[in-house]
Amino acid sequence: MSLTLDLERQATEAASSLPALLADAETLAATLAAGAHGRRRAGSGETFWQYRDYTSHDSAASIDWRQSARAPARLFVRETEWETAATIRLWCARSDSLQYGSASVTKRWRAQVLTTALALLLTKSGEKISLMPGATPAMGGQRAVMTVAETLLGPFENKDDLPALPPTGTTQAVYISDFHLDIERLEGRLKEIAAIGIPLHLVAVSDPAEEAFPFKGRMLFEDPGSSASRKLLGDAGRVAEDYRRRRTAHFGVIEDICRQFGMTFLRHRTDHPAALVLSQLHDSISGHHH
Amino acid sequence: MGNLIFTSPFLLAGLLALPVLWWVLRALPPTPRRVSFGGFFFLKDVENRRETPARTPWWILVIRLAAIASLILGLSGPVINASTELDGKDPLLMIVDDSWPAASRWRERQENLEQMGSSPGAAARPTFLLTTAGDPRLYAPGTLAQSVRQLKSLTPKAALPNRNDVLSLMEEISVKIDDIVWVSDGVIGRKGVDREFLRKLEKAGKLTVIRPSGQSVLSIRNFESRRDSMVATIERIGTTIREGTLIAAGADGRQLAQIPFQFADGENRVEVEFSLPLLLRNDVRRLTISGIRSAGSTWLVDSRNQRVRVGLVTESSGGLMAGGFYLEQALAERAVIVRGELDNLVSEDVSMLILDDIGVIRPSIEQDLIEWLRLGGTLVRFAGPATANAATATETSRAMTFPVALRGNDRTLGGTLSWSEPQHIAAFPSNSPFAGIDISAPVTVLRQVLTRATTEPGYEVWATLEDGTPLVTARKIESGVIILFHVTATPGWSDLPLSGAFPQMLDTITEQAAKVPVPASEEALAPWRLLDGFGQLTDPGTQSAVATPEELASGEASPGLYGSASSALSVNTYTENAPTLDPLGVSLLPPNAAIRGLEGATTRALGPPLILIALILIAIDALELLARHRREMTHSAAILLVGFMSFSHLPGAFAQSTVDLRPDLDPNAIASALSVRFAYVETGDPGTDRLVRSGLAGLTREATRRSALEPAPPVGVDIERDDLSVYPLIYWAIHPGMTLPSDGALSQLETFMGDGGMLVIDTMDGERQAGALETPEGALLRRILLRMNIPPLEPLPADHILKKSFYRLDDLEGRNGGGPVWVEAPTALRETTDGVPSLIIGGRDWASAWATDADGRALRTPGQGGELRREYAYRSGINMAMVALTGNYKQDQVHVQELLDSLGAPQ
Repeated sequence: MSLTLDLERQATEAASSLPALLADAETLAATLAAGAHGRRRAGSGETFWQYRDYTSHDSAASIDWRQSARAPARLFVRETEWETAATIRLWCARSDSLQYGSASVTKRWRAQVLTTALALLLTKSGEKISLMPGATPAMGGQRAVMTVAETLLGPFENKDDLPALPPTGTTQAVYISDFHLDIERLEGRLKEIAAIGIPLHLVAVSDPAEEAFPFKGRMLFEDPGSSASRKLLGDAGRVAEDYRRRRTAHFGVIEDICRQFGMTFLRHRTDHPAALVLSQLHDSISGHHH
Repeated sequence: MGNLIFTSPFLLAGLLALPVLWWVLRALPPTPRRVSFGGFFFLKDVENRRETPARTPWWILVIRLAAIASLILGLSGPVINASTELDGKDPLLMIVDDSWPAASRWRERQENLEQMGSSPGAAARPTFLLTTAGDPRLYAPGTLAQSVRQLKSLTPKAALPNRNDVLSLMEEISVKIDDIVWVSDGVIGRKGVDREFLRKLEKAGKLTVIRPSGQSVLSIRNFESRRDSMVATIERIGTTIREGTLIAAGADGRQLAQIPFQFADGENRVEVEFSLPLLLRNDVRRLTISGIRSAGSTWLVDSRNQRVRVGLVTESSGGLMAGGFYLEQALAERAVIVRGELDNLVSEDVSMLILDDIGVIRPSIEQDLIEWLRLGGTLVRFAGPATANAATATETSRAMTFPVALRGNDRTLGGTLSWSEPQHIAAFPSNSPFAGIDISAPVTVLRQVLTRATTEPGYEVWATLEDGTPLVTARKIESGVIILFHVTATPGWSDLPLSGAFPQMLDTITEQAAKVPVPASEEALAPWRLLDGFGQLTDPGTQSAVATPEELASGEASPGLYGSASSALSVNTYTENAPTLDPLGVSLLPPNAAIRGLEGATTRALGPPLILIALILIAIDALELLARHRREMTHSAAILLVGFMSFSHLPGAFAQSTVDLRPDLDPNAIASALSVRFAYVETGDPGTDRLVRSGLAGLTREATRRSALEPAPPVGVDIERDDLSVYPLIYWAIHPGMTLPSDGALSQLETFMGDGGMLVIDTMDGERQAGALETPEGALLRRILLRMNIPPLEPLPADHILKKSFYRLDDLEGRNGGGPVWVEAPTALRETTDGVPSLIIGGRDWASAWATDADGRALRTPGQGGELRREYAYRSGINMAMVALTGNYKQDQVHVQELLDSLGAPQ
């Protein structure tokens, strides 16, 4: 297929799934929106925080005349809540193994919905976000969410499947993937990221079939991305135990690394409600603010 | 069921492999289920522990084994009913009479031999095949199986066995032959050579004669056309057949008549007489006997058996004022009338020619005409003004094709400036051929041409007026005759064409003409169609031996039709000249002959049906596989299907390929059809063509800029060759130097306009159109339009659609504003084009005003009025293009005021 045609096809696909992605993400974020709140102290935000008496340090322009008129001989100053914008970088894996969904939804779609919903939540509470890899300046507001969603659905050039290194100026970083990566390379990269010293949050998305391995009989397994890599098993039922052991060991190592460096490590299965993991994720991000 | 024989029995050993196959099929693992798995990452290093054994359902195994078994059985070639009569090792001579009497049961003869040849004991026997009919042929020796195959490709010939040549060919065989098979046609001649042939067969050590038990040879020996009927002579050879049906068919194979006939006891011939309506009589081309397919039972009828063909040469086209009308009415019941030009008719096969007031005949044609008269033609001439003129021109001498010399001017009887009274026709003289025709109702003659007093003798007067002046004169020229009616064939000069005597007079002449035999052609003729033994006409192809007139007359030429399709001469198979045939009775056969009938010889090869069954089983198996593994098996199924189709040429399977005979699409037209674009007619003048091309390019540019119409670059078309239907608008600049388009090109343009295309004709001469002066372009266009089917035109009316399809315009201005712009008058607008004009004619030189170069710079000055005029020219062009593409869509707006008014009226 020619390059232009390929681009056009990808653009069409992206454009058609963008509304769905945004809708899914908004529905998901709406369940948690009530939980988002400010810093609970007076600051440079826009939300009203409290009235206090005028002091000689305040400028005359800061006096709230309407409130002051209610009480005789008192002048009030209107204080807003203190809100600092954190810069949170998000990373959503693009590897082929995510292109698998034994149930209705693929891992990739779930990861993308989670990323977008998180972006939505964060921008609503005033944080600046941007997508990794890349050092594009973090943005806030609805526009940032749109950029995230479009980039997620758009074509992907970077072949590096390892979690990206957060650029400077990052407050926190979130990594969403299935982490089906060579454990040694992954360990090396995670240590590198941890060395920056910012709070990190990892979400491992998995499919129920990957966990249960419900296969029997003569099977030819293929990598979801490329049918070139395949494996013929005479009796799949016989290797289920071996498979589960390897998988548990893999995630065990990741969990150990996370514990060691104080990263948040969340597990999510695509047949479970996404709100749960999103609220956990959001809580752990918010927790680091205090 | 007869005996079952396998042609390649060793293949049956393959059946032993079936149990092995069963075991292998059981042991094979099943096809794996393919699945794309997200956890593949963890499977990469997993060890493959064990194989799953096959669990193929038993019925699939049965299907597969049955398929292979029937394939093996089919390939081993089982044959039922094979005969072992010819088994042996010695060389064999096979004499096959492929003559027409064998045609009716030819297939049975082939099957008989096939049955003998398919026996494994006989198939490899060295065999000489000798065919006897026409030119006997000895084929190169081969095995019996090969000879039988050879025989299967032969068809009988429309000839009888040539025993003379057969005997000499038998001498030629160097090998000693002691075993002869004779596939006889069931008849034998009476000549000595036929008996000699039988004696020769008697000498063979072993003789097998295959011959039909009942002699079923029926033939048509003669056919003649009489005055009121036609008679066919039918002969039977042998007495088995008692009755039959004769079928008369037309040129298109349509049955015209079915006539049953019966043989009287002891009679071998019967004359079948039948009559047909006169109109159908000449259509009879072929007689056959129902149920019998052979050349001998087919009789080809040619024009010699038909009614008189009358050539009619008349100037006028038709209607009551034309002489041809009266002549055709009078002759319709008697003769076949062929209209045409004199020179063509003379060379065609007509026995009578009528010239309706043809005065001067060109000398070369006159020579031919006189030659034709000498050979027995009948020339009937009617007088008239042209004849009178011609007589003036020849002065006193007689034109060769008139019976007498005529006076220059015609005589008028009873006119306003004449004293004389109109004359009646006198009773016909007793020596006239017309004698006896009732003339009691008076026939009045007003005008006539007169003979000169000093005429050469030798002419006859067949009818006179009451005052004795000749009305019909005639002169014999050798075997032909010239007859002159001194009046017209129309009622203008006399009542004669309206009278009852007129058809009777012509009848008499026609009857005489019919008696004159049409002379045979002098030249040798090539065959047009030849008869095969089955009585079918076939294209002679390369074997077209030319036949001399003698051969044609005596019937020695190969039976068939000779000459051209329109006037073919027929040669028939079994004419009166042919030798008489007798049935080949048992008594005539040599005593040592083993006689075998044609019955019960149906061998059946079971191979093809068995292979077909195998393929069907394999297909079922493939479908089952497809159902189980839909996605991955599609490919394999396609391969199987292709394999199945490639097998379908096996006998018993059907394969039919249709050939698309339509011409290929013109690649230019395909390219043009993909996008809307303007076209222009290439005039051949490079300057004009370049100007028009850049003009249309300029219009294309402006249309793209201003409207939703975005045409592709314009193309030039050759109206003689290109397909015009893909263009919406064709611009035709008339250049005085261009070559006139052919009729084909003009009719292409007519079709283009009729199909909804718009043709813009620009004479580019607007400023020169002054007064009544005609410009060269205008004259040329006039000459072209005179040959074209053009609707009535009118000057562009005020509220025409062309003035409001995109821009509102007062006129369709071009580089000049001179001369009118013509469009189709509303009365002429066709239903098919939905009232959209398809033709615009003007001299406004639009192309020059539009013309720009590649960068959009104007090539010509815009003419009087400056750039504003150019702007109006573009607007006119866009309006034309809009009409060409959107039709009358804007026409509705022309009536918008009326619609609004009528809407507002009730309130």
